Amino acid sequence: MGHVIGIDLGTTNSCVAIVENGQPTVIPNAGGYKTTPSMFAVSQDGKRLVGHLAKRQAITNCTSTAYGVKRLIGRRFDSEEVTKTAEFVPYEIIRGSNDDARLQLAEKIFTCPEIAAIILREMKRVAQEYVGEPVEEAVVTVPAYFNDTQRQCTKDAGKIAGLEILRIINEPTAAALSYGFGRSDEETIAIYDLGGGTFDISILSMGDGVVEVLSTNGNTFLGGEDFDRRIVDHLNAWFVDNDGIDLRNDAMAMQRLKDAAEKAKCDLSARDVTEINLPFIATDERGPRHLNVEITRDTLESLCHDLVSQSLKTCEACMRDAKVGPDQIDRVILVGGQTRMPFLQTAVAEFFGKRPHKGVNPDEVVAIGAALQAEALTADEKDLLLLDVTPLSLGIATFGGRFATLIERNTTVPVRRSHVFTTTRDDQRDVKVRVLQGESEVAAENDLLGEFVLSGIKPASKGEPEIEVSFDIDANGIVNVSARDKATGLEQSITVNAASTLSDEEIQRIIEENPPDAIALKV
Amino acid sequence: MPQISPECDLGSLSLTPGEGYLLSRVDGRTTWGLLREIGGLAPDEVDTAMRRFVELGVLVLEDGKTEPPPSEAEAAIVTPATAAPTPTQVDESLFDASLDISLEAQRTMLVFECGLERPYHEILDVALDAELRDLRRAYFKLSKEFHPDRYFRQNLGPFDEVVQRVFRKIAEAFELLSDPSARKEMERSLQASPAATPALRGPRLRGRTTPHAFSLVARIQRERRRKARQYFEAGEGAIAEESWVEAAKHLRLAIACDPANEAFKGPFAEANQHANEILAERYTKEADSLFELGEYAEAYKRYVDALHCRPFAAATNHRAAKLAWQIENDLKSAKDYAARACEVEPTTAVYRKTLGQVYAAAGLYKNAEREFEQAVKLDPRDEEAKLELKTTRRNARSAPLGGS
Repeated sequence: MGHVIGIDLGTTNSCVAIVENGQPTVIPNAGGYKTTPSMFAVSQDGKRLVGHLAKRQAITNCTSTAYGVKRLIGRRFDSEEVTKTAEFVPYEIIRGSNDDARLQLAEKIFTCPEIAAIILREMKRVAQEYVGEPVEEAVVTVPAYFNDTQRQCTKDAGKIAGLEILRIINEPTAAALSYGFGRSDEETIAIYDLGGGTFDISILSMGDGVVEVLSTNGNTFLGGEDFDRRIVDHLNAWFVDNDGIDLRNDAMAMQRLKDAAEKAKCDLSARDVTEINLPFIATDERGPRHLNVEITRDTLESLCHDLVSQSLKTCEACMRDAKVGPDQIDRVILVGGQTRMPFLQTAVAEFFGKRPHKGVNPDEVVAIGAALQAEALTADEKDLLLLDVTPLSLGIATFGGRFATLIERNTTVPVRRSHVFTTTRDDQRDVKVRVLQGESEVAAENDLLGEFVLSGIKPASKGEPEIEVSFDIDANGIVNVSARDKATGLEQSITVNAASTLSDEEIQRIIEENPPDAIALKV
Repeated sequence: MPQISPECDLGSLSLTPGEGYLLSRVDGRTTWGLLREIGGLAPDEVDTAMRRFVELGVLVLEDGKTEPPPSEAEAAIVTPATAAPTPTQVDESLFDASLDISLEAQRTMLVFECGLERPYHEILDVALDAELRDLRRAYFKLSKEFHPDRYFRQNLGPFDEVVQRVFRKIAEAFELLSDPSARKEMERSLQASPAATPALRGPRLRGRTTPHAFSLVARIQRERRRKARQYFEAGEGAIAEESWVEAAKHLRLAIACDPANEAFKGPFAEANQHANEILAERYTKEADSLFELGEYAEAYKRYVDALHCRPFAAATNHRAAKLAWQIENDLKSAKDYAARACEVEPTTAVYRKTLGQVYAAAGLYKNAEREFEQAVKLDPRDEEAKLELKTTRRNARSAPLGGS
């Protein structure tokens, strides 16, 4: 049987792991690094670069270097998140034919799944070099709060990359599997996962080789890059004050600021003060200008403390859903590079009333968990079982634009729920079933996953027909919705395939246009 | 419950592929009745073969019985009960050995599925007032058995839905029992009417459809009838192409899936007859060439195979008799084959002589004497037979107790 790998497809960095002889291992890339930057670039001479290579040339080629694409994948071009991202990335985001966000890099237009695929293919290649055989199957992680469309796009990316994605699992869940590996104690744990682009919190119960997700919550727009941006804004404001030059219009200067901010942030996890030195950052009639400034840990904390409190609010909601208090949580585990920040660790410790567990490597644990789940699905000896939940509520739109929930968020899958609805007009012959995902009571504020019409309802006074709507989520997370008129037995159903993803033809076209060897592979 | 006798050397047996398959299904946990369904042969063929296995000492039946149980698969359909059904209540005709899960697992699933209408705490097998910790332990334990991920990419056939349904119910039981307010409501309804078990099944929070054991049984039977239909069509197709062996195989499977369908039986009988002729020809030819090569033990096996397909071929019986006697030293089989040869062709002297020789080897001199007498009468020029007769008469006198 072929190898099945686990991939942590991160906003800033990606990581691949495999289970060999029952032991999970992170696979280093050719450069010896255990993580690979989730970056892709088209160089000036038209070469395609991925990973460390793309990162290294980002400053000189920032408009043709894609990063943080995970923030855009599966989102509509008009969404608030895309608008927000467009403000700070140097590359151009344009509207795609499905109203999706696409990237224009050196004249060529890329869809988000396409870029995710390039990174997945790179991770696949790293794994193949390690095992010496083709790898065709993977478990891939996504933020817990990814909706159906975002998950579907990630699957499309897998298809383009020539990887069959056996299962998409949530990043904090993967972290929990990794933590639970080799432990048999009964414990309730909280996974606080603050990565480059997203924040996730999950509360899980484990014991006897079973990991049960109690609840999960998160924010797809809160991550380490937001911390970086606060520093960038701070530095730019300082530069405006001192030199009177606003760097925001200079993409290359902004990229240097971004790199310096990230480095300063990391430095400040170990030291109280760090120096930022960017010579020749700008030039004006006075000649070249340099940016040279010291930044202290206190400054960083005052810039970012609200981001941390925002994350703790999400933790509160998550505990409410799980019906547990901080005293019932036996262990708090920190995942994601941003959790190295001392201020954050103190705040989390205070919030949960216990010191966070430090036994896991925050950069690697998600990929390891994905590999463990891959093993648990495909191995003959199954000694690990994940009881996963659906992260967002599912339901349909009803009269007056309301949202009727059929499956609440954090319900264990597989699950089936049904409810009887009726008509609102006399002799109404058909009803439209709009399948939505989200937490708002107003239908329009939730994501539309699909819709269909049930026709041929027996004419009757309004309120009389009984139309049973059933939702079915299988273990793979695939949603099936059916509606049945109880009087006639007529039935209509759909398998939900998120609205703004690529068609099979588009995927095929992308595969044909992107031969794997078109990408520069060496680090 | 039939099981393979530990003393039996399976390698020494001479079996048809069909019998070999049947024997491979015997695992000490599968009943005779179930073997009829899954043994790959028609039910009456299974009975014949099983009786032969018992006679040969290959199989032992724990309870000492040698007869198959009455066929009552149709009558054994389970009824939804409030108590956990015992394994015997499960309709074994629903089992399918071609799936990726063992028959034992199929049984476990069906048994559990039948009990899904019980109160939630009984489903989880916990006390009504169990603590969260115990609820969770029970839930985890059952999840490890019934979560669909345990069967990832395995072909479960109709059991796929059984697993889904069972797991959904387990999860629902845990969800409601671990919710204090839902639980309080359950307990209240218990106090109000202790006899009314349905109330214990929890508040109907969301309009759920209730699975019914009968619908499952009906569905699986429908599924089997559909399969039978497919096999039948494949069989018809093979008949049209005169691929008799193929046709017989498909039609046999069709009958195994839907034993009640009379329409399968005529075509099967026809195809089977042709198939037997073809196979007998083939086996006999193979056996003859093995015999020429001096591979007597292998040749014997092939002759026996040929006789399974065409039991009344005199020459083949004769040859098998000689080999059984001289190579296998299996005098009982040798006698049976030789006697069959004589029965089919009573006037062939050499068959009589062989039967006589086998009797003589077994020490049954009276019988041997009778056969040699016949042989000499049929062929007075056979000096060997005359000599055998003389020797046997002498031996018969010195062993007056011989014969039967």
